[in-house]
Amino acid sequence: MASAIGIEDPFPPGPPRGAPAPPHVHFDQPLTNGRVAWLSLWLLLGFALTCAAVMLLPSARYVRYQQEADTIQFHARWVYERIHFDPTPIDVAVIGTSRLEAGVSPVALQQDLSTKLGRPIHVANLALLQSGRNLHYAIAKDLLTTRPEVKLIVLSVEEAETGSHPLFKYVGDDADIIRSPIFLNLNYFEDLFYLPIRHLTYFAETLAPGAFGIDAHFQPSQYLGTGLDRTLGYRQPDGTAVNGMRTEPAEALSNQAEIVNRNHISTLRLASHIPDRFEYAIEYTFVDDIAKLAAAHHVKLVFVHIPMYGNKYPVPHMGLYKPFGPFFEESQIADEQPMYFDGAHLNRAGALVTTRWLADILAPYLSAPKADKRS
Amino acid sequence: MAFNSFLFIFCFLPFAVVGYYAIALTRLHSLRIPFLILATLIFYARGAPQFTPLLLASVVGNYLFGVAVARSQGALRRAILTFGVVINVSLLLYFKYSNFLILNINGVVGANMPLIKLVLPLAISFYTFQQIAYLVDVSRGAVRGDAPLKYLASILFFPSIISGPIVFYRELGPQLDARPERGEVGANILTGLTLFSMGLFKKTVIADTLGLWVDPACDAIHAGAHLGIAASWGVAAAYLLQIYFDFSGYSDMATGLARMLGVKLPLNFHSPIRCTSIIDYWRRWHITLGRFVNLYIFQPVAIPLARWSAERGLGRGQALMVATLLPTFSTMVIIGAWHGGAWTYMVFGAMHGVYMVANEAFNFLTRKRRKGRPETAAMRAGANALTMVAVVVAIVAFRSANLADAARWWSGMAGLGGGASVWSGWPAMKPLGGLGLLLVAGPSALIAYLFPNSEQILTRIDPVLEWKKWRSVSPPVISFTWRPSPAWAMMTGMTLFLALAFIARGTTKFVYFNF
Repeated sequence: MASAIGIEDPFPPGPPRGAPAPPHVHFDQPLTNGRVAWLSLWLLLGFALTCAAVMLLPSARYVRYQQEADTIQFHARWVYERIHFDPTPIDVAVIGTSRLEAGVSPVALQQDLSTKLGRPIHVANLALLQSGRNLHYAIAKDLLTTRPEVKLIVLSVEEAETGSHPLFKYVGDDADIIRSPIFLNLNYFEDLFYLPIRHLTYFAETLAPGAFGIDAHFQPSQYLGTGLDRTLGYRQPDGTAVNGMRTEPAEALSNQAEIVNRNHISTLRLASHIPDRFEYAIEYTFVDDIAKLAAAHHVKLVFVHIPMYGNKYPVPHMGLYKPFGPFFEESQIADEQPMYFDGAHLNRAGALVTTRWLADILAPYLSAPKADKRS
Repeated sequence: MAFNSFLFIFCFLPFAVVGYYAIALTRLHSLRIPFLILATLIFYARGAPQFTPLLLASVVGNYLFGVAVARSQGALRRAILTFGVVINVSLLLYFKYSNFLILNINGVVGANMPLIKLVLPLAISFYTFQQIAYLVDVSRGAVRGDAPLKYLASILFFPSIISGPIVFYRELGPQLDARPERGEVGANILTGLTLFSMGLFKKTVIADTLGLWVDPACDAIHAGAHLGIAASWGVAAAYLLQIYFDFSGYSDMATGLARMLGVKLPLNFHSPIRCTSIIDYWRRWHITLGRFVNLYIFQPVAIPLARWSAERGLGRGQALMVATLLPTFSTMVIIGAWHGGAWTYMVFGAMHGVYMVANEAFNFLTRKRRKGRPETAAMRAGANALTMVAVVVAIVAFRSANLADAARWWSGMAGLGGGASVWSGWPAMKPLGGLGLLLVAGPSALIAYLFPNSEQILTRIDPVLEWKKWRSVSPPVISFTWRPSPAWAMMTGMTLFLALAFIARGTTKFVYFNF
């Protein structure tokens, strides 16, 4: 009868109560604990060798910056292309978050600086959305090892930079990911454990870029151009409009700023009582690293903070930046509702005002020629 | 906490295994069972803290019912048993089918009853069935309802609590009773880890990769897209492979975890893709659900009907209809409905019910003709192809969000999707289009068809309960078995590494967590 639904009754009466469990392993040689320990070493060796083989798989660096092509980080590709494939020099690089992306017009800054200094100054705004100083380090490292002409880097400062940048696990170098601070870095293991799969993926994509929709070589037709100015506004891959001339009522801007601040605070709420060195471990580590890189390449650093609307939320760790370069806060327009796109970002009008202010600040740092590395 | 998470693998699992043996191998060994219960509660509460009280209430309540059943006799025993089973089933029905019922009443009589805000408690389908089996077994005298901690641990056993295998108290209880022997600890951990690694690999590398194509295609169908004929069949077949590698991978992981603790679980999958009939398919797919349904639903219905048929002197055909085909069809609908309150699952069950009835009727009608005639390889291949086509067609209902989606999908399979609207929105390996799916599904199918399954690879360690019954069933075309050698240990290390690496790609939750 049981076969009617195809299942035989597989239930002879169970072992008598209290009977010892049946022996589990039947081999010619008994699988003793000593033998298991020996086999475990082989297991670990297999694990380690596979790990090493995967980590040594070759891949094109260009592939890293195309991973998020369909997301809000799609400008990462342009950043890489501007650094590696565009012959136009870069004298001033703006590296930071969406605050600088929306708040600094590279075209206007270039014009202002060139006029002030009486010679052509080339500016590239390499800022990308979302915060995380380790990404800024990765970009700065790429920039400074590729572009010897860079004289000045403008770095953004926000109220609370506690996390790892979502792009870092895609574009950071292995060694930088491994040596990132663990305490307190909520994303350390996420970034670390991503390394093997990223090597496998990048290897496959480098091997057969066409199958993955990746470009192995620079495609001029895809390049967004030297003069990409994101303060003018653009659309993300999902169609969302960003920056441009839009603004919101003052109350909405205040509310948005408060939400951003609340999100910042909630990131590491429990860590607020420990020293800044640990609460902002990523910030401290990678600002230090950027500064060392900049010093090695004789590049000046300037830190710029564009506050959220209303400027109610101070930067808690300003002392961190002082040893490495001057810190400037654009507080003059913080209460100007028409200048803000949303609670945390300037619109085009705000960006033009801020860019002029920034040109005044930066011009003195560019007046002296860059020191020769050999001097 | 899912088995395919770093938190489970690197934190919970070492804690549970080391803690268990640290207690079990000392004078405090009697505390190992409470430790297992505590570990399981932590494991469960991490995933569904809001349902932990319900789980505890269910386990304690069923234990008390078990005691009451064991201490009573005759009609009182039957009444207590019935009451206990009804409460269990009612709880399941409430969580799974309340809104389904409301929606259908609203639809039929035009009422406007509001839906109840319900979330299905994690694992309720599995631990409810286990406990119903326990109560029935106590009433039959197969087990004694007198060991509260052992009973709690048999349900609150983290390897099997979330999605099975549905293991019976009479199988697990005696094993939990036996104190682990020091000399077997290493062997159990090593072989358990080997099985766990294989399961994790099946999930993160194979099933999740298939999902990269299947899930967006199903989302597109849900959004109204019409897939072409090849894409429709391809996605349905790929989904069958995805769910096979997902659930059998999960079962391997559960079995491996239990083995690390020195416990054997029953077999849950035995290469169903290589089956030669729909009966054979159900003999090998989700075996522990099938045997539960067989023992506690089908047999209690079919046996009295067989007696009734015999008493009335019904002819062979009539008896077959009453005592076999009717209960078989009903049982398959119940299996479908067990997955959740949706018409798609009912239709899925009913389709399999029709398949099973057709298979039984075919066997009945051709038994004499087939007797003594050997089955050729071509006949087996043809039978497999026919069965797989039937299974793939039915899986459409299982995967679809509603019957309209299923109808759209089936129309695509029938070539009625409309040539002008062939779907081309493959998101993974976009430039390859549907070819990408073939590149992934092809090797997956070859693995399922040609290679030994995990238990066959580990046949030397008797990987599951009653393995001797299964050992020689469906031998693979390409055969190899695990040995305690350096080469196999390295292979396990490699498998584990790749399986872990693919978690970071973004693994999805197990399909059967939804049930």
